[in-house]
Amino acid sequence: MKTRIYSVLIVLLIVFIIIAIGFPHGKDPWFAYWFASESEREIQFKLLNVFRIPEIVMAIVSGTALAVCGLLLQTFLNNPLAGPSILGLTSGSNLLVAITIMGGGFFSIELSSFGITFSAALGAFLFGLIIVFVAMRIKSTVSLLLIGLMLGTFVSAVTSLIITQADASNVKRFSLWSFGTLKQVSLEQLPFILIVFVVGLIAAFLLTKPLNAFVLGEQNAVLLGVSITRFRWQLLLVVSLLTGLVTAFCGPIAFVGLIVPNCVKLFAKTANHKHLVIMTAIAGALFMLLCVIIVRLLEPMIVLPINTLTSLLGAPIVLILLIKKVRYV
Amino acid sequence: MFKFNHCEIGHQSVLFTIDNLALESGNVYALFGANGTGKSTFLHKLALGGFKNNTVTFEDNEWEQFSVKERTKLLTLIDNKFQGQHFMNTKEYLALGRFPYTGYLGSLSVNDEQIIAHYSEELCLEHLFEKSTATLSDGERQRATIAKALIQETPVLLFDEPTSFLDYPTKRNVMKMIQTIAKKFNKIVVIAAHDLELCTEFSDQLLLIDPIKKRMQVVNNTLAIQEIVSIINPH
Repeated sequence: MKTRIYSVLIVLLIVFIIIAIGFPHGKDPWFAYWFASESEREIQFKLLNVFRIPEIVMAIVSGTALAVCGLLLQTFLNNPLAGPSILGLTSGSNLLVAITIMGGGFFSIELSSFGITFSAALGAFLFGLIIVFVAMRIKSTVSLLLIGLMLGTFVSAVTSLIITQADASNVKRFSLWSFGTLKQVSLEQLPFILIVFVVGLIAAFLLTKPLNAFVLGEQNAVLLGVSITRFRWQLLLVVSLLTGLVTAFCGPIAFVGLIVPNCVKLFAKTANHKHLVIMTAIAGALFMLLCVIIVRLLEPMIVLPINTLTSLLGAPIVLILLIKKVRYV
Repeated sequence: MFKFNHCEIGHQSVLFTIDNLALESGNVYALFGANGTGKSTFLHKLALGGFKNNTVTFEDNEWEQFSVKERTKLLTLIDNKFQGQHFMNTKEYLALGRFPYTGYLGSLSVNDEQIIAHYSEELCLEHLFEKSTATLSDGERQRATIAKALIQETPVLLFDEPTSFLDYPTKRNVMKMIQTIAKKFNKIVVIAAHDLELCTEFSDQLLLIDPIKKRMQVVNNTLAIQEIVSIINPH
């Protein structure tokens, strides 16, 4: 059963990557780069390197990172509706990035990718702290989501406030960022992103053992010898690093972290996080690649920001999950 | 042997004291006390520690000297709070019993698999391996919980109300099973429960919490039920 899921996921991943790379640009043929004439080669090469490859890599990175974060939060908080965006971690990144961009503009500092990543991760971490400490007191599934919602509303108010004080170029820059896009990243930034991504992913994988114990609830995990305090910090660090990385480079992307792990659990029917983390990672990449392909398909008619698309797909799936959940919660 | 010497139980205030108590392997001890007298507190404190020095010893070692990790190899607390998880099947649940023994990634060794298979056979759980823990019956889940505790291979088993939610025949079966396990695998078993008759029948000694004097009394299981009631509920 598990091998079948793995093979389906991997085959789909390869197919999606090939489609995403080869998808025709305007009136060009499929895989235009490989069939280009000598004169067109350079343009096609640029198209591939400047637009295609960074976008595909970012789709994989963002999908994987957010989905894994969602899984970790869902198990840790024992709440199937948890996810980095719905709990307000993305809002935290949002706020800190807004402050950094506007502040950076004010002090006319050129922002490095490291700087933005750091502030985004810090924002996710701070808001993650709020959520974790609230979760220690409030056990209700829905209340926690409301708190995440409140954090989000609060942040959008504060960012509006910051925007009114900022100058036009910075406002434009921030607005573009906040739409959520996979296209803002250049080839030169990829090594840095990939290193942080891989580190975060390995760290997430190392948390699988305590996560398995957490399925039984916090108290039973303690009785099995999990050190809650240490685990809480580790999980928060991993989640905020990965969420921060994605949010810094792609803007806020909603729903991926919530729906992907739930769909994976539905098919895999396992609580072993060694399988769940890997499956969720691949499925997250698949989901974002699918979004990229849909955006391309619709491009002749309408230009969809990626965040709009994930919300369009995500919100109905959450509703379906909520209705289905009634049967087994 | 678990020894208690002038030991105080309670978090902020002292709920009761244990003047002198020795729990021996192969015996079942039934812990009786009214609600709020500190039964669960006692069991949890044993699992998580926090006693004064020289009050609790296990096999002549200071109990407080053991780390939480070491304690998970000596003692298991079995409560009835786990109501099943839809995506967790019984095999995965049982495998968590090996948690203290597995490495950093939690992979099961051949030995671990053998231990799981052995105790599952003992408690007739093999046919439920692929079944979700959420769809087990209450009796089956209780059996799985006990199997998981055995798989953890600790010399001490603490049960916090193992028979609530169960119908009378299943209650009897579970109690009989616990008694058999204590004798067969030579375990120290403590059961906190409200079922006076049932637990008295299947245990060797009774631990009664006297709420007036705030101390634990150790009595034989031949004591009449009326006497037990008058100690744990003197009003």
